[in-house]
Amino acid sequence: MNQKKPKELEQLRKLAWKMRIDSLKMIYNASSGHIGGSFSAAELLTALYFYRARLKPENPDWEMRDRIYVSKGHCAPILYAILAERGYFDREELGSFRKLGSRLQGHPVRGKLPGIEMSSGPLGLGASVSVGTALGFKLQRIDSLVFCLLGDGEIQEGIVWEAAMSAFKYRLDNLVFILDYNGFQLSGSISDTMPLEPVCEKWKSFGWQVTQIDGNDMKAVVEAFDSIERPDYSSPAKEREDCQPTIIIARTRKGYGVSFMENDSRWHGKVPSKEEYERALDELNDRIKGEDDGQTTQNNIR
Amino acid sequence: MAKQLRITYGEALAELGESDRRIVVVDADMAEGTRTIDFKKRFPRRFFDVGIAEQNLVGVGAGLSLTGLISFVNTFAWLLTLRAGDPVRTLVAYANTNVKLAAGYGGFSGPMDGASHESITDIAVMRAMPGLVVLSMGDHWEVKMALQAVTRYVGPVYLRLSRAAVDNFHSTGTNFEIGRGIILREGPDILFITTGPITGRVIEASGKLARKGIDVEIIEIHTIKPLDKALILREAKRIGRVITVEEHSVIGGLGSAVCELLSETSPLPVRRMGINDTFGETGPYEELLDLYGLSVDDLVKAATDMLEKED
Repeated sequence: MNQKKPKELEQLRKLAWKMRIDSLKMIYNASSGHIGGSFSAAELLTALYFYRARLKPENPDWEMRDRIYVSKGHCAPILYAILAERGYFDREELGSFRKLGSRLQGHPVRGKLPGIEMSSGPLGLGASVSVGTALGFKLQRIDSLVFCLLGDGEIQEGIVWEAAMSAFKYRLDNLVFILDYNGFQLSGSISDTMPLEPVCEKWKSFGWQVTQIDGNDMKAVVEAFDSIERPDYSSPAKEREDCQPTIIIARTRKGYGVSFMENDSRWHGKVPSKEEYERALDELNDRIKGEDDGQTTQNNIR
Repeated sequence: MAKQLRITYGEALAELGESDRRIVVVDADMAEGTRTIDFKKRFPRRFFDVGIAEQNLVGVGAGLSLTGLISFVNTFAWLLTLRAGDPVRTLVAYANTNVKLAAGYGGFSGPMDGASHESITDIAVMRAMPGLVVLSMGDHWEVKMALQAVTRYVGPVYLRLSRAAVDNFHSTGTNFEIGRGIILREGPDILFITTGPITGRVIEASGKLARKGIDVEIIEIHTIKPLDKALILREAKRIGRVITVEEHSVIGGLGSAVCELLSETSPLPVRRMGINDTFGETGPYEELLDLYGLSVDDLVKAATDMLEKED
C-alpha cells in the first residue's frame, strides 16, 4: 500500500466539505432535494472523482474512462457539485438545480449533462447496469473499472441481488460496488424498516470480495480505492477462482457534518429553514477551518 | 407444416452476429424458447445468460450497450414488458440506450401454457413509452428485414416476435422501412389495418370477401410506433371504413393507435378486432384465435356487417 501524502488527503477532505456546502446551497435554493444521502456519500464520491477514477472531464465520452454509476440517484446534489468542481460544466449552473428547464434534473439523466453516465433514481437499477458494462469491458478487453455507488436502503431491491449473482457468475473483477451504509432510509432506520445484517456475510456468500471501512474517513476511503487493481489484459489471465467482484461496505453517517442533521432520517429529504441553513453552513465552514488547523476529521467519527 | 417465426429470428440473429461483431445477446434462461440458442452456439463469448432474472436481463443489456455494443435482450413479451417494466422504461426508453428488446411469444403464440404466458398487453405498455420504436413482426421476410433495420437504427427498439408457424405473405421485393406501412392488397370497399401473424388470416378473409363481391384493402403495419400516419389517413379517408385486426387486447394496441389518429382529424367508423378485454386460456394456437373472435369467418362477418349497417 502506498502511503498517501498528508497534503493530498487534506485537500480531498476539504474538498468533500466544500462539496457538502455546494449541495446544501443547491437544495436550499431549490427548496427541494436530498441532504442526508448527499452528505453521507461526500468522501466516497469526492475520492472517486478526484482521486481514483480514470476520467477526462474535458472529453466526457473518452472511451477509456472508468465508469461511475451513481445508482442512488437521489444524491444528485453532491454528484452535480462534484461534476462541476471537476470541470464537466460551469459551477454557475449549480444554481439551476431542480429548476424548470435545468440540465440538473431532480435525479440524473443520461445525455442531459456531461459526466452523467446513466439515468438513475429508481433504486437498484445501477447495480444491474454496472454488471452489463463490466461484461462489455471484459469482452472488448478494455481495462476500465466500473464503480457503482449504492444506498443501503437501495439494496433491499431484488434486482441488486440478481446483479450480484450475475457478477459472480462472470467473475467481474473489474467491478466495484460501494455501499453507502448510513443506516437510514426514508421511513426510519434500516434495521427497523428492513434489516440488511449480516450484510458482509450476505455479499461474501454471493461470492464477492468484501471490504469494510469508515466511509466518512477519507484516509480509509482512499486506501480502499488503492487496493482495487486495474485489470491487465496484456499479462496472462488470472485463475478464474481469483477473479471476484468487490464491494466496499462503507459505514457512513447520514447528514454527516451538520450536528443536527446527523443520523436523523427526517433529513433524508427535508429542506432546511433559513435559520437551519445558516447554522449548517457555519458548521460546515468550521469543518474546513478545522482541516486547515490540522484536525483530521476521521478521529471525530464514532 | 409452416416454419415458426421464432426459428427465423434465431437464424437471422446468428447470421447478423457474423456480419456485425458489435452485437451481443442477453437471455434469461429462455434461449431454447427465444431461439437465441443459435447465436449462443456460434458466439458463446458474446452471449450472456443471466438466469431467471428479467429485471437484471434488461439492466445488463443496457450496461453492455453503454460500452458501444448493440444489445439484443430476449425473453417472453409479458416478462419483458411487465416484470421488467421499470428497467425498460428507465434504462432503455428514458436513458435512450441502444438496446433492442426482442419479445418472444407475442399474443397467443405460446398458448399451451395458459393465459399467464400469453401476451396481450405488451403493445399497449410499450407504445406509451416515450422514445421507443415499437415493431410487430408478421412473417419470416419481415423478421429478417427488421433485424437488419434495427441494427442500423441507433436507439431503443421493442421488437414483438411470435412462436406461431406462418407462411410469408410479403413478396421478397418489398421495401422495409421502420415507420412505413405496407399495402398488401388494394380495394375500394373496406380498409383492413393489421399487424403480426394474424395478417395471414386477414388475407384469407379478403379472398372469401372477394368471392362475395367485396373488394377490401389491406395495410400491414409492422411499425406500431412511429405510426405511418400519412398512409393510414390517406387510405382511410379514401375508403371510409376501417377494420383493425391484431393478436392483442383491443385496449391500447394497433386498433387504439388507429382510432387515436383518425378521431383527431377524420372521424370515421372503425371496428377494432382483437382480444376483447379478457384473458385467454390453454389451447391450440389456431383454435384459440378462433375462440377469441379472430377466425377468418369472424373477419369476413365484420366486413359484411360494416357494409350492411350502411344500407
